[in-house]
Amino acid sequence: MKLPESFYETIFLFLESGLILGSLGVILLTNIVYSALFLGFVFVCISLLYLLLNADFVAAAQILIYVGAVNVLIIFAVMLINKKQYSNFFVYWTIGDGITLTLCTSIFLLLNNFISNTSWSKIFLMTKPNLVVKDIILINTVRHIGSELLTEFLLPFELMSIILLVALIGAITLARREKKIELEKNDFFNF
Amino acid sequence: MLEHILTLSAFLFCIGVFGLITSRNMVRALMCLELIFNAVNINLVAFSNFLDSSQIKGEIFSIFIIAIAAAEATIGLAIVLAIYRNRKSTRIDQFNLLKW
Amino acid sequence: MFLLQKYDYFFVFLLIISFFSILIFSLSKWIAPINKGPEKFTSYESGIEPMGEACIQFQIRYYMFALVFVIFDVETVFLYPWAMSFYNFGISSFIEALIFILILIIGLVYAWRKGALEWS
Repeated sequence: MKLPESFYETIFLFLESGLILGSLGVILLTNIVYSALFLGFVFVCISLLYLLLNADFVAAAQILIYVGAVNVLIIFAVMLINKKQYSNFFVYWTIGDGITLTLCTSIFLLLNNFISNTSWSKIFLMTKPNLVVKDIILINTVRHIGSELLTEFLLPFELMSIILLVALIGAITLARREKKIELEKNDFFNF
Repeated sequence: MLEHILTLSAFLFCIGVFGLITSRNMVRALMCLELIFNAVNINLVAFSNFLDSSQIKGEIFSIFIIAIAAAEATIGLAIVLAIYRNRKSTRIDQFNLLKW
Repeated sequence: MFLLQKYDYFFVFLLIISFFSILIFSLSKWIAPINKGPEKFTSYESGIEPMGEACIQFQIRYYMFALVFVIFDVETVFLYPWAMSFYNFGISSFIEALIFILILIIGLVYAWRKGALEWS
């Protein structure tokens, strides 16, 4: 089943509009629960974009880690520190916000200018020899990633476990402080 | 096609920077940080698909970035919880404990 | 440049599943008797009145479980490509993954000792 090019362009257009609307919703909505849910929508759109770019394992990892774990963690944190602070829909805009908006727009226009001025076809021609063996390897991307992880990226692979260990221990120590203080307070009141 | 994806990730990056600077809630600042990480990841995966599709180094790198972003999110949210417990607020401009 | 052809079966599966779920829901909506009443519009039909808002404050216990889950989710993502390419490398890759898991088991033991896995 050979799909035409316009099919991909249509899918990409949908993903692009979803990403733009979702990311604008993340920063513009004043109710933070809604903006956390919009963040999950943005993550799902990005994972579909990875699937479009032939990166199936990265798409699965994006769904597993971002949507399944990080977004749930953010929603739990939002629920933990729930406060009524969304009285009006649009928060007042200060001068700093305006300056930041102009700066970010100028950065975006500058990046856009660079991207459109770079001649990507020359770079494609330079990397053409790599494309010959493409169809053989792309059959099992996951196996290729695993063999790369175990040979060339072995040291980052082992260091990643240490980073995860540090994150686990640090987060538990930071998040568990509450109970001890509450107990001391209760003892104080009992006395 | 590559230009479209690069423009999209540039847009996502700028939105993330804008939200990171202007947001008054700390959790929203962390969300915008995740948006920036995702923009970088889109760039890496797009380049590894279009320019280096025989040995996909960009995808491996992006998996490492995803794992580090998860660790960063746990630590950051735990710090936000600890600050909230001390100050009863998550506004980013009221957190000036280290300033004198 | 795009090779979505690998996922033919996946898209057929997605189509069948979405068609099936739409069919089931429309069937139940079509068959079920409809009687309107004031009790039908409440959140719970058991008669208990919902109190307060939907956005309540959670306990911190949920957060601890989610935190431990995130770390071991990332570990799973790293172990899956290792398991897929295990036959190409043999015993050396086994030792490498054993070191990876052992370092994380230290974290699991710490979380267990600190009581992050208990609902107290």
